Amino acid sequence: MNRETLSKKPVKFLTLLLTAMLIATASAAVYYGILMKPSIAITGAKVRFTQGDDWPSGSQMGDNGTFVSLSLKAYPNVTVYYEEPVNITNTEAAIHQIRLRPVSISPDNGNSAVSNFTKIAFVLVALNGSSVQKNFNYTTSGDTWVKPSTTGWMNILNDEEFAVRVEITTAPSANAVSVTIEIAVDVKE
Amino acid sequence: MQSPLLPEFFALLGIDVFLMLSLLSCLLDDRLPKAIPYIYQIAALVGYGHLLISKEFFVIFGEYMRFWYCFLYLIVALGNIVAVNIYLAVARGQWGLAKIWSGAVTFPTMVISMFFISNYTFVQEATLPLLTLQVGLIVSVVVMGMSICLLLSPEAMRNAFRKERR
Repeated sequence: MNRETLSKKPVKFLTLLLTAMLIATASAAVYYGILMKPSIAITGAKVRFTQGDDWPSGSQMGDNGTFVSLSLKAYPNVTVYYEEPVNITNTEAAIHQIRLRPVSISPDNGNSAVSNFTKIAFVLVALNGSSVQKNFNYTTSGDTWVKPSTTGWMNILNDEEFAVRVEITTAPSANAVSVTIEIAVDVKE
Repeated sequence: MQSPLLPEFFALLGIDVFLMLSLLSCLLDDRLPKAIPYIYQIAALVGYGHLLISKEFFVIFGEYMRFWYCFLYLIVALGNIVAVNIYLAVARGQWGLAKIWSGAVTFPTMVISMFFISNYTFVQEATLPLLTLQVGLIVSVVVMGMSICLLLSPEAMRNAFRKERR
């Protein structure tokens, strides 16, 4: 091995090393760029609201079944049942999980109108008539609402449909008042 | 759960393998053809172009397609490691160097590659006919293990060749 070869080899190696570092860094940067390039596709909701057999007049179904506004009636000293005003339907051939989460209620605590109501219950009922959950109740204590807490996750099977049954009980001396309740249905993919 | 690894990771791994081969072949330039380090650098550059194309056509190319062309690139890179190993052992007859190469380069690279491939969600969820990919990986490991055994005991191979000549 002569002196010329010995002096050439480190230079060649150093050149290759520098090029290699450049390529590796550039490649890693491109990969990082791909990693930080999420692709978001908007598709229809897999679990959505559908009109039930007892769809109340004056109610509104939002676009794509992701929002529903029910217009329900109540009478003094009477318990009114809506067996199937709206359904929650899993339109996909895969199991999903849902839960009910209270968002807001108006009039809220402290308002004298609250005492007109005794109980407003939302029950999820499966097709076979069994209750999937029955503990989502708004009850009153004077002018204060006793609000439900968020339910646990419930399985909704492939193409299964849960009816939302609503039960409204008012006080004997109830006046012409209305209440607006906002409930979210959380869906786990 | 979605794997944090993208299919392009295999291309990145392939690029690094080619770069490592380039540097190692430069160190062993008296035993390998002179052009080899530069060829491997070009191969790594091709992989870089590969990543750029993947980035630009990210939405058009599906994950299936991206996985397979990146996986193929990695396979080519790993094939080159094995090829150098075989070249050193068979063509140059340098068993000692081939043993070192297989222990220090071939085997660790293969194991690392297989670790990432088996951890990739697409492979875990793949429903290929007769689990082609998984079976292929196992066969590769078996062949590689046998090759290492033969390299570690070259006498057995020499004896086999002598018998064939007789």
